[in-house]
Amino acid sequence: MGQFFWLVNTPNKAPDFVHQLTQHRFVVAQQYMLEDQDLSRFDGIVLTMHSDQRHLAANQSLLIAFLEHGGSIVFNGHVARPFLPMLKTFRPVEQRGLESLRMHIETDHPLTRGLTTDDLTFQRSVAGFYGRGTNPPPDDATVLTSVGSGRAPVDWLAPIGQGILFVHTGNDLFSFLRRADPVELGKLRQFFDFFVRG
Amino acid sequence: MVTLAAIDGGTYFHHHSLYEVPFGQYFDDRIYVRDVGATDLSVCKALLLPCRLNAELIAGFKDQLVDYMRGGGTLIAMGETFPDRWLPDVEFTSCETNFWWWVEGLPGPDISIVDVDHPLMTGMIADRAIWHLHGYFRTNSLQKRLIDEAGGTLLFEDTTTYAPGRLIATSLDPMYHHGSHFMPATTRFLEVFLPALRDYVSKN
Repeated sequence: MGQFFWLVNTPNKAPDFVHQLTQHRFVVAQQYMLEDQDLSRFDGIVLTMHSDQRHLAANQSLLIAFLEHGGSIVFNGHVARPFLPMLKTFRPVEQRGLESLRMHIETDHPLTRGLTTDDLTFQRSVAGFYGRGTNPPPDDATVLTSVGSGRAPVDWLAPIGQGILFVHTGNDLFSFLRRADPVELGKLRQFFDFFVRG
Repeated sequence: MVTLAAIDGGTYFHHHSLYEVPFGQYFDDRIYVRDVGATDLSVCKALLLPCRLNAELIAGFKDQLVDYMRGGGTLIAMGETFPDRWLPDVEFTSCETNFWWWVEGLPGPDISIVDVDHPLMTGMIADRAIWHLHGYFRTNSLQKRLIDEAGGTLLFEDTTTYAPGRLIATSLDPMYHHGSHFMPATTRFLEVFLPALRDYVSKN
């Protein structure tokens, strides 16, 4: 069982699936509770698209220490303020028709296994929801998915110390993983399984 | 004197909407949400709360916002900031959002510009306010309706309750979508709303 610290920055709670993925435990809290926790008990920290990146930047040393000691950070969103030293600011792709927004799976990896490019590219036959640009990855990152003919990295993993930084350059990866297996939630479970400390 | 300031919640969509082209030019100052309590807001003629600024955080400085308006300031609450949760006399009902009417062949939001002569509506036409809905205000007699939909009010102005200041509130959420590089209709809304807002508050 993994234990994840899910930080929200809206009046809403985390999505319902966190209560349905009984293999893992999710502790949901407002973002500014970050400093008040013993983070060592968590396998991962989940940062949503609503994250206050100024606050994350102010807590960079805390986040780095968490990664270096084997924790994982899962970030959804566009990087506006690089809150970790290996992050660079978001670059949008030029949106010119379907091919500019088509998703590509770049690496056979546990996090992408069983997903199709159509799972990621389309919602109700409409493209552009998954990713519309890149948070440029560091050189040692593993790029999992990309967008457009220029193959701009969208999802990537980078090792930091003993931990892993996962970046999804889009609003909400989890809604796509849920849609890819809405009954069993297998894709969501597979995602969080990966980040359980070895 | 600052003409138009905004509170920055530190999100990427606030950053893109408040600092970067094309809309950063309309803001003279941005106040980080955690610095609001230590900031003298009275130097701002108008203060905008951008879409999805965490209502739980706003509630923590609501008294400061009321004092700001009562001191003559204009407060603009954008979509999903839920002013009904931190101000009295604001009645709001959420609705189920249909993001897909344009795919399903259904009619879209039935928008009407209620007062086309109001300076805030300069350049505004219904087409610029059509993407999707999150809910409606039920206005009282002091709240002047500026944009309506069949189900209720989407944007109103109240120049009385907090006089000499005023409250402008909308349930539309253009800064979230524009800030996410998403939904061009929301950019078209801001293209006319922000210059009209800035012009309005600079003259009033």
